[in-house]
Amino acid sequence: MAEKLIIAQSIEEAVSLKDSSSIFLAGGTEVNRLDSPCQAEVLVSIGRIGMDLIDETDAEIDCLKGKKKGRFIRVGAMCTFQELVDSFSVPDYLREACLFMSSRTKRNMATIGGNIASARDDSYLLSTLIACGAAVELNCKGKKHVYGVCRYLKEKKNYPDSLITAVLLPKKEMTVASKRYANTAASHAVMTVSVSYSEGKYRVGAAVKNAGVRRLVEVEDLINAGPVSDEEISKAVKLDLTDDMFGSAKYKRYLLGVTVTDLMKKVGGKK
Amino acid sequence: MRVNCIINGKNRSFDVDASMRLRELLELNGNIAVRDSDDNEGFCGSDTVLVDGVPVYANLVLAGEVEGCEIRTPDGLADSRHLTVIQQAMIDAGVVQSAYNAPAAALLLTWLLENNPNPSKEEIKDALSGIFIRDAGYEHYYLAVKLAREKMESGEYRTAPAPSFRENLKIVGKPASKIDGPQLVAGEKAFVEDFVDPHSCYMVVLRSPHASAYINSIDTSEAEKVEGVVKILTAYNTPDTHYMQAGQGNPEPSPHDRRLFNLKVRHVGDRVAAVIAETKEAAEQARDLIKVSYEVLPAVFTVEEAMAEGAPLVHNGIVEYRSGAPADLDEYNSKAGDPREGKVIYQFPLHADIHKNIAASNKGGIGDIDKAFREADAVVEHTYQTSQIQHTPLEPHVCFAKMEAGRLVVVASTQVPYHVRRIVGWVTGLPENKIHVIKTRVGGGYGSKQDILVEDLVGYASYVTGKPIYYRNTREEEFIANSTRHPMRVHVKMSGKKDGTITGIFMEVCANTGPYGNHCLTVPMNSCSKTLPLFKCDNMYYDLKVYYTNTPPAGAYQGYGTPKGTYGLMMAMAELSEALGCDYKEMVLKNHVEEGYMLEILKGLGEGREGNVVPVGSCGLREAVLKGCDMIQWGKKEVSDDPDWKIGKGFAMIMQGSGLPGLDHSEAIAKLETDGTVILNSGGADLGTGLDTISAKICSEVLCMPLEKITVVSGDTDSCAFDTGAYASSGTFFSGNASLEAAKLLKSMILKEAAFQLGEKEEDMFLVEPGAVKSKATGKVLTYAELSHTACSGTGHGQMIAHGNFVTAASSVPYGAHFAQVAVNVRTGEIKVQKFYALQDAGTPINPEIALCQMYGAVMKSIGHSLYEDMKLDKNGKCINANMTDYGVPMITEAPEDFKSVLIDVNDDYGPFGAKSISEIACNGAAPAIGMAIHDACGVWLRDWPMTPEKILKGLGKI
Repeated sequence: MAEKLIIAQSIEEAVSLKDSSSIFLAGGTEVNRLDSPCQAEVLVSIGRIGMDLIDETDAEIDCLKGKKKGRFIRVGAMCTFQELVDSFSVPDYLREACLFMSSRTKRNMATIGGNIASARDDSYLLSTLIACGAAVELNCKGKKHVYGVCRYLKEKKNYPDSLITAVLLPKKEMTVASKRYANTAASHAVMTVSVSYSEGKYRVGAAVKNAGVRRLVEVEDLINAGPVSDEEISKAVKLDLTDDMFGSAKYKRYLLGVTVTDLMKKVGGKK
Repeated sequence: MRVNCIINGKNRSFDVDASMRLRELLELNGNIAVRDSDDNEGFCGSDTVLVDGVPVYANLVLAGEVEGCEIRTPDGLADSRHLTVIQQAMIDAGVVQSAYNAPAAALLLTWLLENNPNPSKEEIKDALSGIFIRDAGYEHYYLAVKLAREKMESGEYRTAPAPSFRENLKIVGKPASKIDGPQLVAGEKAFVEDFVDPHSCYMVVLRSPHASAYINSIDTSEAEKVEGVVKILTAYNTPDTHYMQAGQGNPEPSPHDRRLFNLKVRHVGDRVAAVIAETKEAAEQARDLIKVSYEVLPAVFTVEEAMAEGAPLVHNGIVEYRSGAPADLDEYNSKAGDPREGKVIYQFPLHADIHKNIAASNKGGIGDIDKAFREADAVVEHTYQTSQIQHTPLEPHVCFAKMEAGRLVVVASTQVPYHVRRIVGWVTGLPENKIHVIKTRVGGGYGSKQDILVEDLVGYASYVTGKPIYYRNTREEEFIANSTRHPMRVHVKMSGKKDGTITGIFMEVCANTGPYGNHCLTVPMNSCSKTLPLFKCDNMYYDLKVYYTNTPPAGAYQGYGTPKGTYGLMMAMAELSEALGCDYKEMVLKNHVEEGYMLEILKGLGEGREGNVVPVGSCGLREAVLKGCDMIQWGKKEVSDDPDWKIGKGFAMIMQGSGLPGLDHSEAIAKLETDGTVILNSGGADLGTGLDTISAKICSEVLCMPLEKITVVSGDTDSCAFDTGAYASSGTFFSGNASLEAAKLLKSMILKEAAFQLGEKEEDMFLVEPGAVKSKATGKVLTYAELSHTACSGTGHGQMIAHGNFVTAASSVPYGAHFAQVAVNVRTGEIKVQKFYALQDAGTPINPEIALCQMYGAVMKSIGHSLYEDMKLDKNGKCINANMTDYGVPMITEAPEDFKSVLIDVNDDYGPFGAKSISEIACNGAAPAIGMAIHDACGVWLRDWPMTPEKILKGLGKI
């Protein structure tokens, strides 16, 4: 239980207050919820520091395999899911992913930055953001970084005091489709799978409960090489799938295969 | 830190600590309608408020974050005497029932209409997407918005909230505002938590981490040192009184197999100790300091494990009988185990054998079942398995108790105030005149508040400490330490002829009652007694056994055993129709019972005694089937534009009861007050279903007086007369009939007194609106006010008080048919309920708009049970999804796209003004209707709950 709540008034103040005894408090749907793993003595509320604009920018992002330059839609990290649903400035695929959070009341609170930072394996947004090649803008003790989402997720533990200030979505010709599976709409997802198609290539992201969130490069290699069956895609997935209360490993593997195929059809591209 | 904000238009300033939630701050400010039903899970929406004009969950906002914010709460909309148009429309639409979330829903709809005066159905759905409604379903919320918009636009409703019944009656059978609706929708004091005295003590419970273990010792020494601790209760300092927690008629058909605390824990979550302290924090701190030494034992979790040779025994103590003890009891008891096992005491034989984990059993039937199977053209035989389901009332189990003038006062959210009083009396040793049970409004019961799950402990704790004590289950405790729906294995063998005649039915039911035997005989019996009588079949046999296991406890749940039996029987019938090559609809029409058919099968299906063989009474079954088939276009194959989605249809016949003839008992007292108004003291327990409104309407109809001149006081054991309580669909039929008897008697007293006062003949007197007596002979009119004033003037006959008492051997059975159209994705296994039509014969629906909402609510629950809800236990018996998000209750998003409830108009001979029950029966149809529709869509029979996409894919051979 937190002993201190500090309402930061600026990004700089928020970042300066962050240390190993504190965590950032964004929309509250993760940090303040029942049995949240995010516990700290000090909560640094970032609800008053802005970071809620949507505009465009050029940027160079650090990815797992080198740097990439491009033009991006820059979404402030404190934009709530509902603000994104209502925005005409963000792509449809992000709006659709935000609607995976079925509760309007919760969408009014949850922020895009908070959802990424919590890095849950049932994340509403991460598979979509991975598939579209999104990046996060970080402020790490005053130093700014722009990392691809995959790199951020992989190296997150290396910069625990960093604050996500914005999310960058590539502004280029691209189609993205996502599919979420859950017991009920309000339940935690068993998996969310996303496929994008751009410049002749598919890119695949997946968040699978108890197996993790990541880009499915092994699947991309397969589907970008030529026509493949659902079964071949299923077999190619290298996630460590387990039997759990969300379903059997066999079920999850099967579902990954058919879903990638279905999403490939949806985003168009190669036959 | 200091926080300044505006709450409902008023500037407020508070000192708050870092961890305080906005909901807690609002509670301190007196905004009691901002409630908590999910322990900060951000799921149920009871804590919805507007912060700077945006709906948020107040439990997920820290109080320190609202500096400078403008906050609106549900209770800020209006008070109960000046309701807003939207609040009134919600009452008129029938959605304000148990109403724990009604104020929050009113706030959301207010926000919606302020920002979007003409919302679409999708926009209303979106606005309500973050609020859980378990009682009334969501369908009439769309109606409430429509009514509100009409009123705002033209000053009146253009749409009737519900159909009206019985032209000859003025108020019965007509939509009319629920009498407790204003109080509930406005968010005023209504529930137990609203009546806790300041500075009351708090109680928390230490629960077992083991599914089965003996307690070797409990060390409370460190815990007792915590400042503020008042008392710690364990098995070592509480009475050695065996009882049970089922709120059933006395003597109960449930074994007395537990004490307040046992020396053997029998499930994860079982009681080990209770800490009473001056603050919740002190109680929790002390609880964490209690040291318990356990001797862990092997456990059983399924009926298959429980029935296995050499299985660990859940109970292995001394067995006693209050009556009907077998001759070999001493020999039986010579095999008893450790003294810490305790006892099992039967009120009468339940055909149990604890040495085989059998808690109860029964079998019987009619005709020659073997011959029927031998001579049939086809026989099907399948097993249908149902899962463990939690009621999830928004208001968890809660109790406040205190000593007052030497008496124990128990403020309870209960369906059975008089059973609470009796059982608290057993535990404390107090006589009933020393216990006063006050039932508040009930924020959701669904059968779980038929059981005395917390009142026994809180009442005892208050009695021994002399302190006012408040206790409230956490949401996790609701799952692990409460009652649940009995998981059942229903094995059905059914035979038929090529012409569609069903010739034989055999049902073998194995039920899992968990560690204690609440309702252990009667729930499984209902799976047969409320299903087999649907069939005109001469050869029917049932064999049921109920097993103890170490799962979380089972008990009463809306529908009792019937949803499970109906699932098995109707699915088997559909499978038989396929085997015979018959049309299912024709088979239904050929085999269902009709009025006058003698129900011989009931002889062995009493509640622990011989049942009444009676003919079928009023019956709208055939009309429901035919009308529903027309609505859903039975026989027409629907085809989706997407080849992966296959569409199918299914339907099921359903029935229930209206209370327990020969067992249930209701009383009411009607008093004519000195100004001519009436106070009706009803023993009935309104759990949000509108029973008080039914009693008031009955009184109004009989006495020709306006509804607002009648006040119903109910559920108070001091001021009201005895009633067995609200369960087994008894409310309308039993408590309503008691109110009818009281009203009729009061009417006769009024006529007699009027004749006396006017000096005329009694036969010339008749009642006229609005509350007067008129003489046919002279035309003179005497108002009730004049009449009563004179009667109580010092020289009169005194106050007119009528006592109505209702018992009966008559059965009034509601019937119906539920229809589903389902789409199944054969690539992913996903299931969508596209259409659901519920058609039911409730006799005369006294509150038609409320009746319709109860149907919607019950169907939503049973859609949840069929497709999503399932308590999952790990290998040690711990429930691993004991929260709302992982458990999987259906929300508005899961509601069928096309959802209709239809009341079939049938008048009953025995119900008050022809009324029968409405709500429980509505839980029975969804599972078989959806199961059949899934088969019709994709060819897969899903024979176990929940019917999931993964099971579809397995059935299709894809995984």
